[in-house]
Amino acid sequence: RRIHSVGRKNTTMSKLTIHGALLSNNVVPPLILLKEKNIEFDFKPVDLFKGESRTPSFRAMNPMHCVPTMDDDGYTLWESKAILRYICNKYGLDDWYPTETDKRVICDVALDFYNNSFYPVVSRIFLYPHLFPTIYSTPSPADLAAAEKTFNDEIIPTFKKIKAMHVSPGEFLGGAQPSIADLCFIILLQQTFEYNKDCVVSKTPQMVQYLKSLQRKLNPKHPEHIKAAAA
Amino acid sequence: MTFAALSQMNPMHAIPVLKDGDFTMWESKSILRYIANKHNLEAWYPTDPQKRAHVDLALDFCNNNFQNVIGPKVVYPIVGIVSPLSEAEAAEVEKQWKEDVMPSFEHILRRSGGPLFGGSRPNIADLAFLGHLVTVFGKAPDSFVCKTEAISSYFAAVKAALPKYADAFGPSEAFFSAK
Repeated sequence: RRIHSVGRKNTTMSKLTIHGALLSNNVVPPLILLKEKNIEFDFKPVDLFKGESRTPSFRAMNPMHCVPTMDDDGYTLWESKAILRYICNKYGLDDWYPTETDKRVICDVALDFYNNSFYPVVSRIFLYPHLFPTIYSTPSPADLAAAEKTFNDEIIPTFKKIKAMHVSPGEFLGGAQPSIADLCFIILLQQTFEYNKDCVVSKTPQMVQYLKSLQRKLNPKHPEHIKAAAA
Repeated sequence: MTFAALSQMNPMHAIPVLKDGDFTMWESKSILRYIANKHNLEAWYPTDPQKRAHVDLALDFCNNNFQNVIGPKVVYPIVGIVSPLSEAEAAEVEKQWKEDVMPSFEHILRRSGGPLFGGSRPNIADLAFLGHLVTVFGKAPDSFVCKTEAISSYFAAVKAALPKYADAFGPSEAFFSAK
């Protein structure tokens, strides 16, 4: 399996700016990654509720006016997972996003699993009605039951299956060490455990253990970001 | 293949599923990345970080903002998978299409120089869009999606750039166009 030639670190690299809000579970993962690797960056807060992402200058960077939005000395990007991949490719962060095809694919599947399966169910049904009650309606009993069934019958088995793709499986979707896919989960899980401690997500032993592993790996270094996101 | 057999390969029971020797995976865009990475298909998925990020952005946009309109909001109501949209819902979908989705589509496309996401030749982002375009033009040719000029000209450009299009998509086109 060939190793890609991707960006290597050099001493004159441009500095990233990340535009976002610290309570967003999509914004904080790239910030954690940059902090974890001691990569200097600027953070510009965006108040979505005040329409700060809908200005002409913001929309020139990102017509979808969402966060996080990245500006690398004029090169702009949105979509948190595209940003995570870019940071790894640019700075050569092979430990977080392997260059070897057989290892990279597991991270790509895990990123898609988070985006398409885990996040939609957990955020809409279990977190957002508690975190943003004025915006997200409480799910009906039928929707709640269906989501719980999906979580138990499909989402948790898929989580286990992805971990098992590794030659030597570990605590994380990235194996023994976390990958950028694991970073996506930490804020969403932390907020769900905090705001909805009685839901199936917060009570599933796999998720309790997984969040503990993530916090053990990351928390001591980034308390300010994780605390701000949980506030 | 039975549902049970599919669920064994992929507990989210979604297709496509790729089997490569002992290795099984799902999620169409990850499959595209895997094939391109494994075979070093530089033109289809460049290794330069900014060029690669452009493809990753286009793939995510397709997944999160494009196909979720084409499927649940346009084709599914027509084929009866979901109930038809109310007038208010339909108006909201078209508003977002005009204000957010199409400006984003054009913004991302413009970065490659066009007419394709890969520029003058296709890349894996173009392939990701293609399947959804075949579906919506087959099942909902009168929809606001298909009446958007930038979409119909993009669709024509992708088809023209793929010599194997008729072989690969002939059966799909026939399936979706059937009354």
